[in-house]
Amino acid sequence: MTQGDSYQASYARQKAAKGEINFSQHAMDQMGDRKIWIDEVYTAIANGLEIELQTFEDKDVRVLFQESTENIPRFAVVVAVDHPEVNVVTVFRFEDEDKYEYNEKIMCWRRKK
Amino acid sequence: MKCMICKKEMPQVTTTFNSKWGDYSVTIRGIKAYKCDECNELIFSSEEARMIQNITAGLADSSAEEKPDFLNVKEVADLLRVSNQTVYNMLKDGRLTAYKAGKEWRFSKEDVYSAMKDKNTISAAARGGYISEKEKKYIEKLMEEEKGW
Repeated sequence: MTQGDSYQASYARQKAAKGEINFSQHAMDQMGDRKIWIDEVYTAIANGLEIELQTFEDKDVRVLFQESTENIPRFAVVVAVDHPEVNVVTVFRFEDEDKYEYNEKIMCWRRKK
Repeated sequence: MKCMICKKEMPQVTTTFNSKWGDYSVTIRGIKAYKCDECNELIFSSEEARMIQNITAGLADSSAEEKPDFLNVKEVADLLRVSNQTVYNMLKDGRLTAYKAGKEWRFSKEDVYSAMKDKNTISAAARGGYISEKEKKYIEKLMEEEKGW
């Protein structure tokens, strides 16, 4: 567990430690297109920083983890936590998204200029 | 397992999945997944997802020489989604070419693809290469219509 984790993020990390993460068809496509390995996704969930927690009414909670690396993270993993299941919904590269910027080890929403 | 979209129960099924690794794609049959009957969403377990990725990335990263260029009858039938007998029929009436390797036929993947791209290929003859007069007229009519376009 990383300091400042939401409950959902720490639950996802526990499931990752047990190897009990499922993958959606879209996530498989995204990982294939971007050549991101499942092991990298697992490491991101287990050790990467939680960058966002998305809650939607009547829907599962989604947690975004950034890649676990000493350098600037290249990708983020979106995980749906719907107890007891934890599913990887999608994976995206930060370079494909214009809305994130690197700020002291964590990718955060770009501030409006 | 519940569907992430509609929350309906997802039964486990055996399915075919078109997997990608960069620009390379491969269709894998016999994949176990949870499928939502309502919205067709698929969920793969970790083991299955890992296996799909290993197969696809392994094939994508192999050299052109290592990729199978020659297919047997069963593989051609799978590729064209026809029966083995149809493949033999197509071979018999010259729509497909093949090479004999020992007792077995081997088809060049390129030949199979080019045969399928040939507009004059009529794949209706699945019964020993026999086309009835009625079918022949109908096919000729279709081909005439195609020329007219």
